[in-house]
Amino acid sequence: MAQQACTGRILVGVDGSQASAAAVRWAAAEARLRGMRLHVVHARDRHATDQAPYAPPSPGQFAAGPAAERAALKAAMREAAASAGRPPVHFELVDGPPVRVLLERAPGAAMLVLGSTRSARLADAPVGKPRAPLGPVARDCLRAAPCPVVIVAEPGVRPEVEPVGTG
Amino acid sequence: MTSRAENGSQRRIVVGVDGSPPSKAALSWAVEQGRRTGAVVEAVIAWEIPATYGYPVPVSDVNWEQLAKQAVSDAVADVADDAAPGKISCKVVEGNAAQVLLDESADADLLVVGNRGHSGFVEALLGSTSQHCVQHATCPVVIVGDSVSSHLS
Repeated sequence: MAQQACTGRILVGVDGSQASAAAVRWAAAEARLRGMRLHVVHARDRHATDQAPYAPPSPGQFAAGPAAERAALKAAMREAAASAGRPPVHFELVDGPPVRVLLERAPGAAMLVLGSTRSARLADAPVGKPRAPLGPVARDCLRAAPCPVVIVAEPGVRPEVEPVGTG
Repeated sequence: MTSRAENGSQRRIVVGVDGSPPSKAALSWAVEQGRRTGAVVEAVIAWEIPATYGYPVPVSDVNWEQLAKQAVSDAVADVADDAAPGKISCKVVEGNAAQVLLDESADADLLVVGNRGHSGFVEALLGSTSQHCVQHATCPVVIVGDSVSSHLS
């Protein structure tokens, strides 16, 4: 891979959501503060469909994909460009499962920054089932990342008031 | 997030400490971060009288608050030998750990926790405290594993 750990870099995973825009903003400020590079990665998982992995892709299957990918990355680029001070940024669009893509790039990074959509964390969980604290990507990154993981919450959403159980 | 720093108030990093190795890694990460950002680091330990089932266990001779105070000051002494000691404050609060950390970090710039504390299953992904913090905190949450301390420069 083309990353060098010498100057230090901050890895950010983006998916085009508001939360990942907040993550890019936070990471850009952090990169400026530390004099590090920003490494923004968007992984697109071509197998994250309901088709068998060996099925040949149908012509229209990814029609909506690339546009959405470009929009996601563009949004991240805008966020990074809008951040004052402008740390050097390296954008990467990768084919592959997001967790693997991020973990491959995590060694040598000072930290891995991910956004967390609050609605995905709380509102969508079925009542009565234990709520997943995070999306699957953040969850697996937390388990395996060799660097600290920063979870930046979606801005402008007040946390839901919920009593914290003991234990 | 950044607005708190921009409006001139002191940056604050709240770190949850329970004396476990991941919490010490979290503390040293927070100290390093505080040094970089000029933030004050607040090491917070929560304590509560343990729940018992069935017959109450006589624990009146144990001073939980004193134990907690000891744990946090030991952790700070371990981690902060080369840091400016005045920049780290310790706070001992009675209550549920997750709730205490959320309350303390309500107007902080960053909340730092270890990925697992003393309680919880070994195979559990995140400790219950880290989990609650990630879920409910209003500021960015940093989760530091105990393998991370060796990555610190």
